[in-house]
Amino acid sequence: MANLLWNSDIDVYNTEVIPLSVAEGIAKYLPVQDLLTFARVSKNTYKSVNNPKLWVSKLKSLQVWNSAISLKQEDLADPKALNYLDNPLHCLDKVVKSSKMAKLQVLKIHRSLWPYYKDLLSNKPFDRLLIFKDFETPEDQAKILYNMLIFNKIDYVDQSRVLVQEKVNSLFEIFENAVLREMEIHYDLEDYDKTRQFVLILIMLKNEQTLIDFFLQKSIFDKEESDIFNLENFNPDKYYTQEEDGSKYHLDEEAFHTLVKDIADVFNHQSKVIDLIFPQTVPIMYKVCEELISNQLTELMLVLIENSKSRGLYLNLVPFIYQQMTTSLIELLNESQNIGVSYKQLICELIDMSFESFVAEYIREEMQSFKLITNEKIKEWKDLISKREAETSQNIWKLVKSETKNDFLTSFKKVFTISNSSDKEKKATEDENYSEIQAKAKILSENIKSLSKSFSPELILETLNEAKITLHRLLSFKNFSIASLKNDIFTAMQEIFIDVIDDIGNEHLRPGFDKALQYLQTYNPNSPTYTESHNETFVEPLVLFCDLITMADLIIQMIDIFYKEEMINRQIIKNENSILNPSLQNKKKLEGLVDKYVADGLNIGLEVLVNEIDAIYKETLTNEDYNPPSEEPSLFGATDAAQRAVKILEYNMDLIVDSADKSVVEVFHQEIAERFFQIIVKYLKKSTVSVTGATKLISDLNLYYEFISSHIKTNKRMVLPLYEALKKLGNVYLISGDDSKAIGKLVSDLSKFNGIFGQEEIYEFVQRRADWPVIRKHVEKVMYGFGLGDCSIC
Amino acid sequence: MSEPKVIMVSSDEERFKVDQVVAEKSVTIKNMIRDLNPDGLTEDFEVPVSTIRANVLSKVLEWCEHHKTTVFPDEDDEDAKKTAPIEEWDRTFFRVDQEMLYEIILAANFLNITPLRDSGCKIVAEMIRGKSPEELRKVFNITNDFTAEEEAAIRRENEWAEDR
Repeated sequence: MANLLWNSDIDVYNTEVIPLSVAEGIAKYLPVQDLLTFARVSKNTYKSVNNPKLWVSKLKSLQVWNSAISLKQEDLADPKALNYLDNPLHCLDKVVKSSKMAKLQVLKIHRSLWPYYKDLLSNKPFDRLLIFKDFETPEDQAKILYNMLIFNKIDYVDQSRVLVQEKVNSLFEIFENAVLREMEIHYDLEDYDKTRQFVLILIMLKNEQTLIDFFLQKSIFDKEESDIFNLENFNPDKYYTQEEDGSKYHLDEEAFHTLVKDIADVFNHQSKVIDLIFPQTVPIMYKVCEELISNQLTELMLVLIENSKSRGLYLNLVPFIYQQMTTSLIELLNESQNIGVSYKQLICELIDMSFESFVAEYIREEMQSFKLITNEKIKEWKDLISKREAETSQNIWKLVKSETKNDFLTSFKKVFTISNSSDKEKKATEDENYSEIQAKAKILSENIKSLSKSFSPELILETLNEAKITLHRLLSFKNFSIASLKNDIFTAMQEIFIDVIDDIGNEHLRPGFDKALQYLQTYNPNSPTYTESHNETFVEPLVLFCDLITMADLIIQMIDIFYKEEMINRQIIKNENSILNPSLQNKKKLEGLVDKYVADGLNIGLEVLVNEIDAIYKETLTNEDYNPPSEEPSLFGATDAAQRAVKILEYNMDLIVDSADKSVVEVFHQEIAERFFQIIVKYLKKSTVSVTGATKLISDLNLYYEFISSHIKTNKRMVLPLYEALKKLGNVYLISGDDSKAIGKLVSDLSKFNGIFGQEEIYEFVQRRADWPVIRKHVEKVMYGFGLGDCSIC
Repeated sequence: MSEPKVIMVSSDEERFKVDQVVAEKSVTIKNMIRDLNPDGLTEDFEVPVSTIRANVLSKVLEWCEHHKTTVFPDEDDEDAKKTAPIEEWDRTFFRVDQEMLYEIILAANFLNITPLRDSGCKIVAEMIRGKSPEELRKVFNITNDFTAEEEAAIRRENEWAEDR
């Protein structure tokens, strides 16, 4: 068993006194009036009643402790400092935060309010209650009623507390209703000063919700006369004008301005009245705006938007009306004291909220419609080209068919119609008749001629314009205050740009280039059908291809301008140089695509060009050119073949200078120079050169050198030595056959040819001398130290 | 083997054998058991409560038995405590003569059974209403420990705030 010792000092054992803790326990549950008696029972009860904690807890219950003010010692010295506590109306306005003074303050409050509180406990009819006798104005009555309700909280007597609480609550209700009635009467009379008076009373009664409900009811729901929000009588037709032929509708901006003005009037009227009636503490204007916008205005917008669909103006209306609401309307709004400086921004946000679903739908529709329109446009163009080509072929084939069918007949007819007067006409038709192979060639050539029509800057311009319009419409929402939707808008704008680029790249540039390359590849200038019946020059396809490149370049530039103007300047793209910027990525992709085609095209063009040059030599360079039959010197200057070749090269090289990327041009030029060199060498090895003809050859070689030297702009040292070597080679033929030694020496000195030609090759060249059989022996002797004839074995 | 019990011995030597949970409604007893048997009770625990008479102790233990599972609201939530009505069972429980009521409160205070004390105080507070100090002293069976001067001074001190 535990052995325990009790502390006998504490008076808990002393049954002669009330232990302090018990006294405090009892005091906690005593109403103020009994506490004063309780204090007089014994020392411990006195102590318990004077415990500041007891009184602070009462001030807390009275809801004044937390907002209690701190007063300086000297302020408290003023005997009048606490006088307001003697006023039943103001005793609960504030207290001093001092535990020491808690008792005094509670007692003062008690003394002020207790008579009225006690009076409430009586059975008097309401109208004879002291609170209505002593206080006459509704403001004072509201205040005293409110004070009663608060004071009720420190009435720890269950019976009286419940009784007073119920009584005060029902008094409140009656009073409130009376005030509301008064307020309504004055509001209806538009006596806003009086209305404000009653509003303030209701605020004092802490019943803002009733007030807000009441005002919304009065100002919005009961307002039948404002026809803007009376949708039953709303006629959306007046917001459209129709073209005279009844086909198309347009938005009637004038009508919309009127609508916006009417809406602004509603807001301004509400705001004016509210500022007259309500203090700023009641967020009534916000509630009114919320109601007006999220219900009334939204419904109105819904009607307008739905209606626009049937008129094909949906995509125009949504951004337009949103613009109207967020700019024109906002501009027309007057200040609202009730909301303060954030008023307009708040309205914008509310409008944004109500537009959220409209805009989401709109973005979807806009994207869809844009894609449809662009695809349609580009497809139309594609179809047009196919159709045109088909027609051209068909027309040509028609002639072929008629020719083959009527072959006999026409020939037969010809016999009889030689002297016919309509001969000329017939002849013209006849000329247009082709054989099958001619027809094919003709079709190809026609197609090549129309190559430049594969691209249409106009179409691109139109498409970009369409994109611009769409972007501008979407941009109406760029300041949308709902972040997720704003993101959607910007994503949509990027997507549109990417879509345009993709469409232009995949549906326009790519097929156009593909076709062009295909034609270029099948083009064969050496085919007899080209040169005989048609006089188009060889260069035409390349020229046309260059046109195509120029046009593609133009398109790329247009896109670039569009990108800079629309995407960057309008800040659709935030991180311009980010690798994560999909617009830039796609733009670069497109540029790359064009560059690749240009390179491919030039490659093919180069092939064609080289073939053509080859053909020129083959056709034009005669044996007599470098080996004139007579001794008399022919005319100075280069041969026809050389001049023609150079002319064609010049033309083609110049052509592409501006139409392709600089590095591409350089490579192209260099390639031409090298290939040309090979052709020259090839034909030189086939020619026979006499000493007389050598001047001609040297003229040619000089011409080549001059041409290359002046046309190759960069990396000259790569190609110029080739032509220098050629020039030197010319000397091999100029030296008279009599001086075979000198020939031999020259031929042996490889350094003179820049190391371009090897010994074998030089030997091959020297063999092309007309007098080779004669000088061979001497030359070889110099070259090898002995002539073949010297060989005794031979 | 059944759980160890707590045996409380009243001033008049009567022994009350109760479950530990019931006895521990008294914070005083609870602390005592914990202090002396930190590892828990292994045998019956006997406590003399020599200031409490058997009939009062029996009343207190009756209350403890009844409320052994009741969870009482937080100590600090004064407003709720003050306005919460007295439980009907407690009200019946306290239907005793004033001396007994007062002794129960004292016992509850002594044993530190706050809810019981509060309940009792509430009942007392109800009873006190409108009574004079002299009447109250009779109720509590205490003597006036003020001198005449002191009494007069206190009366004057609060006179101004008295019922008008």
